[in-house]
Amino acid sequence: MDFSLSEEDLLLRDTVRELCDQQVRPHAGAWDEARALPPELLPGLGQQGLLAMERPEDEGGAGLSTVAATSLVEELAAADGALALLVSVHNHLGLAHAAQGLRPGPRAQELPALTDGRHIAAWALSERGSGSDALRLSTSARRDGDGWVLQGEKRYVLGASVAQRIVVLATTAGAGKDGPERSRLEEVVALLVDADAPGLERSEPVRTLGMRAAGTAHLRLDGVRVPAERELGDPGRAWADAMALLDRSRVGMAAVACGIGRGAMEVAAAYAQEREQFGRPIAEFQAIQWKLADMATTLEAAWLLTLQAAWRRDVGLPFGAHASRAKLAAARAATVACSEALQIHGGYGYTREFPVERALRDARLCEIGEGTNEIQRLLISRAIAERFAA
Amino acid sequence: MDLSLSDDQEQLLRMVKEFAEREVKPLAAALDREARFPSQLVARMAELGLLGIEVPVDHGGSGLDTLAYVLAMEEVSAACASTGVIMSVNNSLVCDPLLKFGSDEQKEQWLEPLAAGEKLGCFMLSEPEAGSDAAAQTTVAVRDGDEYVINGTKNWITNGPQADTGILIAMTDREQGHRGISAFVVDMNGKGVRRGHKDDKLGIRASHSCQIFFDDHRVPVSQRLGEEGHGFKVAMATLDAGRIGIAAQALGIARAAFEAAASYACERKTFGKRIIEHQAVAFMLADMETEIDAARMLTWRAAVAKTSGARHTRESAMCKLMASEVANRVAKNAIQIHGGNGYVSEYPVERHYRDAKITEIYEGTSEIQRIVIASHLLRG
Repeated sequence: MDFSLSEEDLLLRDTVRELCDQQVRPHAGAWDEARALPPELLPGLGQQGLLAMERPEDEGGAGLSTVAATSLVEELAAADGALALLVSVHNHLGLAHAAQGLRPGPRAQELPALTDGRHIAAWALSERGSGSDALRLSTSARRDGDGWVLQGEKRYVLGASVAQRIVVLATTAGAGKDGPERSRLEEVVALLVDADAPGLERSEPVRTLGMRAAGTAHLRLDGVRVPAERELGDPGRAWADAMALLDRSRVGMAAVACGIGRGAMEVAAAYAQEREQFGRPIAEFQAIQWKLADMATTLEAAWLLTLQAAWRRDVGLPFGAHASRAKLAAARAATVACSEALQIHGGYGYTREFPVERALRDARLCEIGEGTNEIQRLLISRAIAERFAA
Repeated sequence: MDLSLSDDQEQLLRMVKEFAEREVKPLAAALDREARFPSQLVARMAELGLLGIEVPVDHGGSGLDTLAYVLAMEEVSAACASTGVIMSVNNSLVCDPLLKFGSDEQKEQWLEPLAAGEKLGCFMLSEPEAGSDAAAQTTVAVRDGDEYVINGTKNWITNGPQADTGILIAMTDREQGHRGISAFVVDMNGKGVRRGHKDDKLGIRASHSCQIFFDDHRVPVSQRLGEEGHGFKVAMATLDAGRIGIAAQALGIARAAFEAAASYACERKTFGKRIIEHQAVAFMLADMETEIDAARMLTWRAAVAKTSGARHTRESAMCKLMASEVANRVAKNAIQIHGGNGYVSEYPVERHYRDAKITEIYEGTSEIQRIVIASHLLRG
């Protein structure tokens, strides 16, 4: 057994850490305030391979393993959770869905720009009445001649403000008379939509608690026409594809949480050694040491769970329940760690002069996005019930 | 990164699972009820090579690595945590320091019978007034020619009532503080060594501990383990390893409690459905499994670090802290899921709950682990 990253993966992580030190960490607070990333940032990350981490090298990707990609997302998140989550969503949901679901012709057209950072792909599932109960879709996809027509609304689409492409999940079932009913699995379709397609309207960035620079927007889809060749995956399989993609992206979300937590912990540990009260650095008080010890322990445990899920995916073992446990543990650990990091900073922690209040706001989404804590517990407990029922 | 088990590890795991399930688990409740030392199980562990797992084969052990030891500890402890700690003490606290710090002669004379399970060992560090503050030793070993003369009292010595051989930590030079501490290997049946009454404990009742009194016990210089003044280092290195074993014990307890609760939740019905179908119960189980898995990863990481030869003080402290606290939470909630049934000894979870507590205390309390972890974090 070996828990270490390969030499190559460590080098890559160091490169990303340097990039973060120079280009991300100093500005993350300002991007949060501005609710936007600078336009040149994402194409730059694309040139570094960060926007096609697991795509094969012969298709312009970085050809990384899940473990390596996960460690890079964690590193980004330690500098800026919003950027890391956007990178994770593009890689593991938008791009991944397009790459696996497009047929050869449109694939050749679409993939290069989604791989090198010219295009970002968001992924739209949630709706006003459909969050955890994700099959209760009201956005409809109607076949019309040579394509599809989309009608409805999507909410909380992370990255939609900056995306050029958006994967939209919709139902071919009509709405029931009391509003949307749960669609049957095979009624779901996934379509790759141009973000500036006629009839698609993106809201102003949603006024979220955290992850403000990630460009979260609502979508209105009013008769948006999508060519048939932009349907992703085999007919009737879109829901299964989406759930499998979410299993993968939860490993990314877990890495985001771990990174945010670690970043906050490092800031708090440094602060505790500088700040003096009662004539000595507050790091000498057990009250502070205890917090740091618990943060480090729970975050490292969550990180190991995250790596476990990533490694299982790399070697072809089932990893869905592991991803759920990793995400649950990481999101909890991160929120608690950020809250304690803020506490260690006292009054300063409550201000925007220090990055821990942003970390706390960002971390909070990890308990909600890509399946709430409660949904993870539901998935985990279902697996337990199957295993233990006599 | 490779999280798979080796063939040797898989093979040992299969063997220990079968032993634990067939031979240990059926006895656990009675051993606990009667506070009876499981002599027959200790003999079986000797036969199976579980008392010197990491000791090389040419020194009488099984020649496996720390992860193998951890896997075996979890299985045995899931069946019976008392049997687990008897095994852990012999492996981690007695064989390990002899292997690491012993001379060739000491290994031959003392380690080989312990590793083969012909003799049982104990580790004597704690004193009535020296628990967490382990450097506050009052037991003294005074040099007299080619011998040391030992006087003092040791406390809570696991395996104390049965042990043939002991690792003793004592003060050889009080002026030097913790640099005046030395380690010895002693014959527990020697003159001037007396065992006190066995402690009446909350949990791990089938594992016995007692006070050990030294009254002018004389040992030759050849029984000093390591250099004079290096005893505190021996003790701390030993505990770095021991904590991984206790983390694995805690994992075993936690897993047993979780499995009992999950099975129960799949059978017990309230309000017309199995209680696992109530989210209040299902989500508790989900948290239990998540925490156990997390603690297991920390424990395996520490085991792998130890085998690699790297310093692993921080990793050991983390896995011990988390696994022990997880075991306590899981056992508590396992009782909760069982309701009234969980409170009676007909079901195993009240034993798991009582057994879990000690893992937060011995081989360094949770508070000591936090000091260790924080000091690494702040130093780094």
